[in-house]
Amino acid sequence: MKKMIVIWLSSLLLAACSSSVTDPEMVGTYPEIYPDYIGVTIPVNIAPMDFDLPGDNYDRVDVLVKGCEGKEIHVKGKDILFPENEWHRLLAANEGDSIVVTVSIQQNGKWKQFRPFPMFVSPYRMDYGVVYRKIAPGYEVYSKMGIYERDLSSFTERPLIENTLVPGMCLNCHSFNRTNPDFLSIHFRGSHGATLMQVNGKNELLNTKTDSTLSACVYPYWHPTGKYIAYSVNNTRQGFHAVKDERIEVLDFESDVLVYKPDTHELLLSPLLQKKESFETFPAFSPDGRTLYFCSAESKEIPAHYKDIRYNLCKIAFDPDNGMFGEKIDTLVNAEKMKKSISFPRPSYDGKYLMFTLSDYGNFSIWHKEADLWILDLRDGSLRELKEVNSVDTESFHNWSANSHWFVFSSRRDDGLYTRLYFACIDDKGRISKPFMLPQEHPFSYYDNLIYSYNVPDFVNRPIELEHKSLGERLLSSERVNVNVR
Amino acid sequence: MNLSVEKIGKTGLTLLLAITAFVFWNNYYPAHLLYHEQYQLFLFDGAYLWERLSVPEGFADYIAEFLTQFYYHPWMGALILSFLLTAIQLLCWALVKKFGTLYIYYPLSFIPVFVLWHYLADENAMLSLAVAILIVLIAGNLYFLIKNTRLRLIYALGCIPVLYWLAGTIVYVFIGWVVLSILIEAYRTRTYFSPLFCSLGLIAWGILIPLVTAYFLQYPLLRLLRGLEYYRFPEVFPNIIYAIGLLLVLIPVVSSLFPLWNKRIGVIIEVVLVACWGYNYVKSGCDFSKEESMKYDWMVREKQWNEIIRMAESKTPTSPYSVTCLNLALGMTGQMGDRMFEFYQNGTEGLLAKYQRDFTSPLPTSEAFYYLGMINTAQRFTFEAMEAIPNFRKSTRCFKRLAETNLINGQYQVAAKYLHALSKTLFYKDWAEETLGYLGNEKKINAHPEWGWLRKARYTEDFLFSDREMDMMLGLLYQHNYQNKLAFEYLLAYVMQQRDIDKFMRYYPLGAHSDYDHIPKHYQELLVYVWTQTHNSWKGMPWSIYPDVMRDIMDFAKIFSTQSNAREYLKQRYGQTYWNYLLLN
Repeated sequence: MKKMIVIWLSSLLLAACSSSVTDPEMVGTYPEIYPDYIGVTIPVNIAPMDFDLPGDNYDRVDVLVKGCEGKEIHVKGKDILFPENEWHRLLAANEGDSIVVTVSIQQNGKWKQFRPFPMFVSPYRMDYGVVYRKIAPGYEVYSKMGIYERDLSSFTERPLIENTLVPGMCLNCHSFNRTNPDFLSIHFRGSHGATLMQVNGKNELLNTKTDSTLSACVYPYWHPTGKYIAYSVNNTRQGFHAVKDERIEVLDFESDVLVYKPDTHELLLSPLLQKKESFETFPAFSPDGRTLYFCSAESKEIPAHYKDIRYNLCKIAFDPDNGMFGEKIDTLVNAEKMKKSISFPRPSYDGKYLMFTLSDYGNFSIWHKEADLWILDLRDGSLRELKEVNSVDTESFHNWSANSHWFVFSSRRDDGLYTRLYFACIDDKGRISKPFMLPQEHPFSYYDNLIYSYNVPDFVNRPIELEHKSLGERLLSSERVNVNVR
Repeated sequence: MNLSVEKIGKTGLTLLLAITAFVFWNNYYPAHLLYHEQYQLFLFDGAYLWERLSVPEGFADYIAEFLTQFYYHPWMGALILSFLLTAIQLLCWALVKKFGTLYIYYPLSFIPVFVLWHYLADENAMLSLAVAILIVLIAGNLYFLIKNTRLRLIYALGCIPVLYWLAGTIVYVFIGWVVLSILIEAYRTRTYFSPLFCSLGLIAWGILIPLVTAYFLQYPLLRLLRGLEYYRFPEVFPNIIYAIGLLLVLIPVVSSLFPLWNKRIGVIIEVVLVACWGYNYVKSGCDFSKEESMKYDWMVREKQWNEIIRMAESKTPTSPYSVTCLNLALGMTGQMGDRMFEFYQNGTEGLLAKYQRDFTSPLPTSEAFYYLGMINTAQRFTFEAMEAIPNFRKSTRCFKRLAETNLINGQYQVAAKYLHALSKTLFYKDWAEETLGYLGNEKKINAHPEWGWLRKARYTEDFLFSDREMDMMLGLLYQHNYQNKLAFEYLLAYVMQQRDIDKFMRYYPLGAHSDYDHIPKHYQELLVYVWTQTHNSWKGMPWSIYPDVMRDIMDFAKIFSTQSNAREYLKQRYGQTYWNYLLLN
């Protein structure tokens, strides 16, 4: 009797598992999937693009992923989770082509099949991973936060540094040299504040505040040779809006740009970048290392005229042989004239483009809903909005992949507050693909449960070597290397 | 002492402990339970469980948080604490017995419980320590149930990492029992080498585990060696925790050395001594002024405005925290202008306190901002308070309020995020699910008595918040919607608290837009004060002032100007007037 029951149950289970899509009602529309992966371009080495159907109540789902080449993937059940190895094999077989995803759902015993949608598999690979800070989108106080490294070909995320390591520690900007983590700078704030400078495995903790500079070093950008790193120094405060669609205003009362030389512990200053009558911030070196881009605005009375402060995109020559700056500042994009303001300039590593964020005013576009990504073609000086990737909400911080064919950016488009990471491809002709959100297993519940924003995303070409235990002990100590002004 | 008397006595003492603990937490310390409950967000969710279990002590912490959610109803919290303390006492005695202690020393098993109770009376002491003690006591008792020496050792070796992970550094208590029992046995059998080797090995094993953990988890080694979640502040590790650990280890061993003496008198003396000491020690750990403040805060959460005023009438609150709650209650019941100075006032800090970077003080102020209609500021204070929770937990109370502020502001997707989380809780689920039905439904929100009104009250013209210009912001709020009488009362109260009579006189006429049937008493007091400064008679006074107010100011002025030593008399007679605040404080 017992045996009979087991056989009966097993056959029932087998029948349930193997039930395929039979006689489905064909629906002419795409399924409403989360995240929106319909028609996106993905790199061959991306993690499985699992998705959910949060708007549909269904008993079972059946997803078939096919390419022109390779073995199809067939997922059945409640969740849409593609097996990692099969996924990578399918993408590899269809590199430079596309895959088609057919979604069917079973409701009350009847199948419904949606219009199949494509994903385009780019011929350009993406870097090994992306590094970001996760922090609650708060005001002045911070709770748990950390800098994390995500392997883009899987769902593995590992913490590099979390603020549980040192009580009261705030983790700030991190930077790598053109995705190379051999050159690493991370700024820590709090009573144990320091700037971590790690070059080719050797690291030291710096005290970058001097009597001649406004603050400790803030926004970093490596020189392509790794011999220098540019920083801004900022006297920053926050303001808080009163009306419903606004939250925070981050204001620089003063700011300058400088360059640090790690091997001599020297800060290199230029009077042109230290002017009282203007605010300079967000430095970035050109790929050849001979130009330093930055944002500059005429200083105005704050808070009375904070909405009139608008940053232009400027540049100054830099000689990497002797660390000397040029004699004049050129304005590349006069945003002031457009009644706009530029932040986060990021030149592509192939020297073709410079991407930046454009908002109505100020420099901290992260809290500006109107902030969008724009691109300057450095070859012909043409400027355009990246309509392919922008949304009605904030698009802000961004960085390029090593091959300059991908860029990652943070966006508040999902819910208006919690920033998420998106990736988009730019091909040889400058065509930009529809962006896709950083893949997760069970993405809807993952992002819905997540109480952190993603900040300061940057690609890395391999896992970062950073030993947290000794770093934590050293941060707790008073060991700091002072920097000097040359 | 025969067996039944012994049993009755022991049961009676334990029962007394259980009842006393319940009565204490339920009747005398309930606001502390509510305080704990609001600073966590226990979710029935696999990811939440996994997050807790991925760190040492996480299991005890998870169980503690699970239990703490029931503090939502203080009687449930009192029951849980009573059960925990009683279980710890019983398990402690069971372990003490294993060391051969005589039954007349039963009262000694209450000592660690009283110390723990004292500790738990601290509002930042986490329940995880009690749960961890319970776990380690179970493990310790199981150890002594094993008779085979080798099996015991294997059990202990296996138990140490498991206990460290489940219950944290309380594992050292377990190691203490095991080592002491081995050494006692060694002393008895006069064989030292092997027991000493085993003892040292166990101690080294116990130290090695946190050392290894430090390579994988991002916590300072000291915290991994001391404990992660026993106290709300990660940098703080109260010495009392060491004391509890030491008592748990030493009481079984030391009490086993005590002799058998006069049973009845001995036990009575012991009971009296332990009870007296326990009472005083627990009492010394209690802070009833904080309990009072927490109660005010809780009543604000529950919108028990009249209860707040009744409580203040019996004993006027003095801390800015409580005064903020009282003033809000007065404002919400329309009594602010009439009664505010009947109670102790500590300036604008008791009205709309400046933001402090902590997790408690911004909350009553955020409540005031919320009811005023300063939704963004209420949201900021709430968010900041939550982010300032030292052990990085989230807060049910804050999530609830953030869902409301986002809903009022039309940020439905953000509101949904908080509501989805609250849907995974036990006591906020129904509210969250009901509120989800409001998202995107403008008509329904606008028809809601609270949210609909706050939508009308909030600012529509943008500016940057400035706590140095609070009166300006309150004025703008009132001018935006003249039905917002609370904003007007806060505006006048704010400048009155600042003793800024010029501003009061400038803002007072704005009250014409509100439906006052009389001039509130404190406004009258200020108006007649101003009048008497510039006029010799009441003739031509443009306000309807109560005759007794006019009479009182004359008497007050007469005494104030002629009697230099009448300060105390005036305070006594006019202590509930604005003149007292203005001139005598």
